[in-house]
Amino acid sequence: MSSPVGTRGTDYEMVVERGKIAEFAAAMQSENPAYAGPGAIAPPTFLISSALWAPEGAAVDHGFDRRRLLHGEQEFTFHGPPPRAGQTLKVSEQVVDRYEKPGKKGGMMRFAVVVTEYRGEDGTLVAEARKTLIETAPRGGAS
Amino acid sequence: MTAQTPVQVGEKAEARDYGPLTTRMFVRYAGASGDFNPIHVDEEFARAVGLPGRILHGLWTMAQVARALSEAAGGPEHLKQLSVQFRGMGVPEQEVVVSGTVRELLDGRAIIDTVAEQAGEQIIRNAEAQLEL
Repeated sequence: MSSPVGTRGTDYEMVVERGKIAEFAAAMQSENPAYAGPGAIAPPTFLISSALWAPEGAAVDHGFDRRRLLHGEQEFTFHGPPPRAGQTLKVSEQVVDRYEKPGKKGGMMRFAVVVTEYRGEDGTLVAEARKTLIETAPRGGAS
Repeated sequence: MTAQTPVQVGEKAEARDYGPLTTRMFVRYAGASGDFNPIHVDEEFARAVGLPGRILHGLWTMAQVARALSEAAGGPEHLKQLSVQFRGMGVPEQEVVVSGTVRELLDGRAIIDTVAEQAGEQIIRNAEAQLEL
């Protein structure tokens, strides 16, 4: 079942770990010293790895056919200093928009916008991630 | 474009090249990010679903955009917002070129238009970053 606009997934915890930051920085081939040591900060796109912390059922359901699924857009916003090693974040995602557009070859393309909030232990909004998922129109033009 | 030099509208940061990626490098990214979608790591699977081969994680390319902006801004803590549109398909065998231009200065922030290209094709377009000056 696809989640309607307003649906909020289950909250879960993400611990920002020093080793995971080092692993992520190495995977993006960055040698920036900001990502090393006890005071390591999270690289800008690091929060995408919160998916690894999500328990079963925490994610909202886009309801799209995986064979026609595209990741169209992605945004990260930081409301204060970047997350740091040792910090625990409370994560929750919500479907904030759904819309359709006619596909170039007929049929309808469907869009879903999902916002993930990352809050500190005192509830302060630390960062937000916003993704737009696209389900391309079915082949043959029938919607 | 460092904290010491005044940033000006229209200023272009020097383009930066990243990659190409070896199998070891993008498998490592899959593990780091948690995105094990087989179109990124399994050549046979990717071909079976009609792709030319394994394709880059869009978020890896976005990480390179973030990296270029962080370096230009004097540190990742200056990057307050980054939004991108993914287009086409990135391939691991080619370099990714990231370039950016200052569009405007607003409330102590520089708004940067950025693209990431492979062989002249944009794989990230209409990217916008806000850097705290």
